[in-house]
Amino acid sequence: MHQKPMFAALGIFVMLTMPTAALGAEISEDDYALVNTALVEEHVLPRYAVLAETTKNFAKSTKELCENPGESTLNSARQDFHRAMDAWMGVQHLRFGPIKYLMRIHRFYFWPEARGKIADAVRDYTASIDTISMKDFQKANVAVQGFLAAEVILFGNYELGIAGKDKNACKLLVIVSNNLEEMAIGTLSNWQEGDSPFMQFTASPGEQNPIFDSHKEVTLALFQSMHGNLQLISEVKLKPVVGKSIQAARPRLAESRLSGRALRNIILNLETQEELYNGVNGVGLGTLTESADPKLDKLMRKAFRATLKSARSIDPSLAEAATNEELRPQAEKLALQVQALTQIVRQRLTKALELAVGFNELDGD
Amino acid sequence: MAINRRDWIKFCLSGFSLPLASLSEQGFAEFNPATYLGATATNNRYHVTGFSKYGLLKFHLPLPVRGHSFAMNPQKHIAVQISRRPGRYACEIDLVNGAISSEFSTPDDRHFYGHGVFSSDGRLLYTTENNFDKEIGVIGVYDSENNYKRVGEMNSYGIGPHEIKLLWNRDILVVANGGILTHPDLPRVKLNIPTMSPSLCYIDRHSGQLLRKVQLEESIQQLSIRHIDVNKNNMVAVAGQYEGPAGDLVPLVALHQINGDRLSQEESRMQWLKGPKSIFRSMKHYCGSVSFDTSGEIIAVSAPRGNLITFWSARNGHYLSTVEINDSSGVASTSTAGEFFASTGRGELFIVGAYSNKARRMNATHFKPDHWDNHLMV
Repeated sequence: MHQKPMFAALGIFVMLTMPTAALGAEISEDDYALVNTALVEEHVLPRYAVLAETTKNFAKSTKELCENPGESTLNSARQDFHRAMDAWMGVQHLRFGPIKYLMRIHRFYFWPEARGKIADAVRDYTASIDTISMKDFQKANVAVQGFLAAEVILFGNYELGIAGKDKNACKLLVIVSNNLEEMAIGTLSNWQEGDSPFMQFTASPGEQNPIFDSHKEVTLALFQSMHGNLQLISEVKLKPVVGKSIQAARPRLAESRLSGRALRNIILNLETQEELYNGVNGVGLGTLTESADPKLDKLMRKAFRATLKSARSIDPSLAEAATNEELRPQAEKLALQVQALTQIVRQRLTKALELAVGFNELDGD
Repeated sequence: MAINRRDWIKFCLSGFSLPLASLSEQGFAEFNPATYLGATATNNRYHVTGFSKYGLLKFHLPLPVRGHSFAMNPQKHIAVQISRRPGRYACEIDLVNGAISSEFSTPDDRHFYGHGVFSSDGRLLYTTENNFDKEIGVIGVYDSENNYKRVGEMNSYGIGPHEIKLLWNRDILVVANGGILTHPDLPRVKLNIPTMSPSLCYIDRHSGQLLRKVQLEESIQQLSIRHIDVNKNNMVAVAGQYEGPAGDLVPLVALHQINGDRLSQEESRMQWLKGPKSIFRSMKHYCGSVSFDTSGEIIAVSAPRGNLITFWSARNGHYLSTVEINDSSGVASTSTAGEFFASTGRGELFIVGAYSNKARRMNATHFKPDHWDNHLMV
């Protein structure tokens, strides 16, 4: 992709590799620590708390749905699913810490890995529902344990709103939603409580710390969360759906296709990354850029605003925008902007934050 | 034109640089035929880069896609460059003339994993590949004397086969099945982390029959074994990449060796190498490359996330020493015991020593790419 049109899409004309000689003073460990503390306390923990709260409500409403099947209980369960999914999209970028314990990250959301395997897994487990207990559900196929299975049951071909129909699927939905609640509570608790709460690791890096050697490494983990999520939006959530041309658009590959929330997910992801950069109360990754490279800082803030504006202006849906000739420029613009933003983060933000992201270390080869 | 070693070193130290063509004209290849190869990237373009044992550039050839590693032909001065996952492109490199002499690719429904090895007679090339529709790992067989026509395929007996080697004086291939499923539609997404099952497989290169399969203990199923090297005693050094939580303390380097025809109790397990906890922590769960030294007794394992090259003893299975180099990944033995070339993602080249415990930057290359890819090969 050429650089100029990409940045023109952001309304910004810059070279990706601007000279860095004029950058400010070196970032100290104290600077990194300040940003990490603010982001853990104001960005990470509150978001996991929301996930715990919304999954709890979701578990409650699925129970009500199965006890009193009807249109109203079905709608409530669907709404609570959306709220919990909103919360998940707000933490989807965090791929370190307790979310990786007990394979929670895969059990919560096996996407895009599952690639059409969820419906089959749900069918299999529904057929043998009587042999499944909550106790050993965490050992079940990850494809059936999380949000994707809940989505298939709630928005697929099951008739949960009609009394006497698809009872087994409803039972599975209750197990899945309880599992989500249990994982969300576990994740939050592992961050804050127990013998070695994870926030202690992020707060006190050093030789005795089994995970982080320095405050800079904690910032690197947060930075990688941002970069990884932007890359996911660009490479998986947008590119295959929008395609290189209208003929190549593949709307069936959109995330959350059944519940129709592909665009909502992207907007929530982008808002989350903007918060990680700007901070909740003004202290975020951008705090470090502000003094190190003020021009880049301005660019980053502008790029987030412009990209979010484009995402919010897409109407009615990403699938529609990708396949409708009139609307398609909106989808193409968003795809281009997210790609540009990802590239700025990878090529320039790493330098400004003095974070060495190795050529060979992100590849897994 | 003959150049003796002393003159050559004097020339290198003089700081006088000759253009690349002149170097070739000096009959450099004749003087020292050993060629080190690495895939490189400069200005977002990909190359295969060859250099001598003095770190001097021999050639720098453009590639259409990002390269990864190489198979060196044991009988001729040629090597094959195999592109990085999910690439389908490979090419033969004429090491004497520094030119691409042949190009070929996988069938449409396969892609390379970046590694391959020649048979000892130099005729057949074996490459690790993905049969992504069936979600199984395979080994493609190509005939180097017939324009690299694909002449066969065998099972790799695991998912995600990565590095492949041939045992010395035996017709047995050894392949590291990393265990991770991928698909070209989602090229960098790992599709089966919760159920992955890595293995080291020994395969008869003629019949394709599985001779041995060594699997990992249940507690380390998420340790993807990707990279291997073989010494002249047919000891296999294995280096892994762990996919589990950051705080887990897991082994990363192992040895394995088969002796008789049957897999003994002892042979059914890896011998995990021992070292201080701090070393395993510093390696950050990720090994980039592994190589025996020329004596076959020292193993170098790079850890690019930890910015380290670590050295291990093949004799007693213990950790020896470490050299710190940022984003270091490629390692290849020099002709001196305990010594290796090391390349970095930042485009640098070093000589590192397990005994000296030092890294010496090779400034004599007169050439610096933006990045060296994961591997070096000699």
